[in-house]
Amino acid sequence: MWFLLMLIILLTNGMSAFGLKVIAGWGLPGTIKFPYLTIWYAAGLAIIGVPMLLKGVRLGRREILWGALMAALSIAGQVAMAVALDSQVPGNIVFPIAIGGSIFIVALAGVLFFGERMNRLNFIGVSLGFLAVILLGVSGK
Amino acid sequence: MGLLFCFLGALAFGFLACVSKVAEQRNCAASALVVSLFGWATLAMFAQTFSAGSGFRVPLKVVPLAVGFGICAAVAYFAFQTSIKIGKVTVGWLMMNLSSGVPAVVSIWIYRERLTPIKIVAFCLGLISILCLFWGQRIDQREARKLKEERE
Repeated sequence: MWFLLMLIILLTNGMSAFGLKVIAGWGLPGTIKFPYLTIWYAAGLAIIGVPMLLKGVRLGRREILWGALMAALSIAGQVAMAVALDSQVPGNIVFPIAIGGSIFIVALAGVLFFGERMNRLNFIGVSLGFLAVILLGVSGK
Repeated sequence: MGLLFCFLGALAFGFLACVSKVAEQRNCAASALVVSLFGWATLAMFAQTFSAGSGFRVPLKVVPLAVGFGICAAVAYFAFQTSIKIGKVTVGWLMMNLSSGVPAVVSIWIYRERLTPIKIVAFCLGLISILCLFWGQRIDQREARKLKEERE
């Protein structure tokens, strides 16, 4: 099950941002970004929301509040990166710091607060993955 | 000033993964959390669209693109939220970020982008990393099974 979930994440998450690149390639105005993202989020809401309702899973107060905090953090991250890019910081600095930094924070929290123990292979995997993400950020943006 | 915002971005994304783990520990349903996250974000983007004053005008060819990639994003976050129940949040979050290698490969294929030495090194490191993480998880599972058998 875990392996399947990791494969799904690998194949879907990266591609989810590819649409903005396609739009940029079509030469459409930058103002299209917000209506595009509205449809983008609404489609995501529907694909998980409809099966959830059919299964009878309730959207409780707890989920609404935690989800709101998660949405706020996601938007805050995007806004912070946009402001950094607008402040003339090059993309090959912004993306490795923001993305690499977030992995570092999660790894630290995993060990300190969530009691996650890593075996040697996990540790090598996380370290090499961290390097790979930084190199991808440096080379691609 | 710009660099400060880079670090704020890192904090925001790092806390996002941590909050996901905390919500999981408080027994929030993964699907309901994703619905809530995407619901709030839809509202925020809708408000932003109208506050920008440009109105909700989208060329027809953009709609299937937005729907397809939006579905990808929701499925990915649902998979991440489900995975942290049975695996490590660090590994899940790393996979979320390693996945940026997939569009990089697609860009090389579709847009004929140059395959630079840095990209080749990044892809190789990413592949080795995934193999190590998968193998590491297998060892963890084997040890957990052994421990369970010893207790029984």
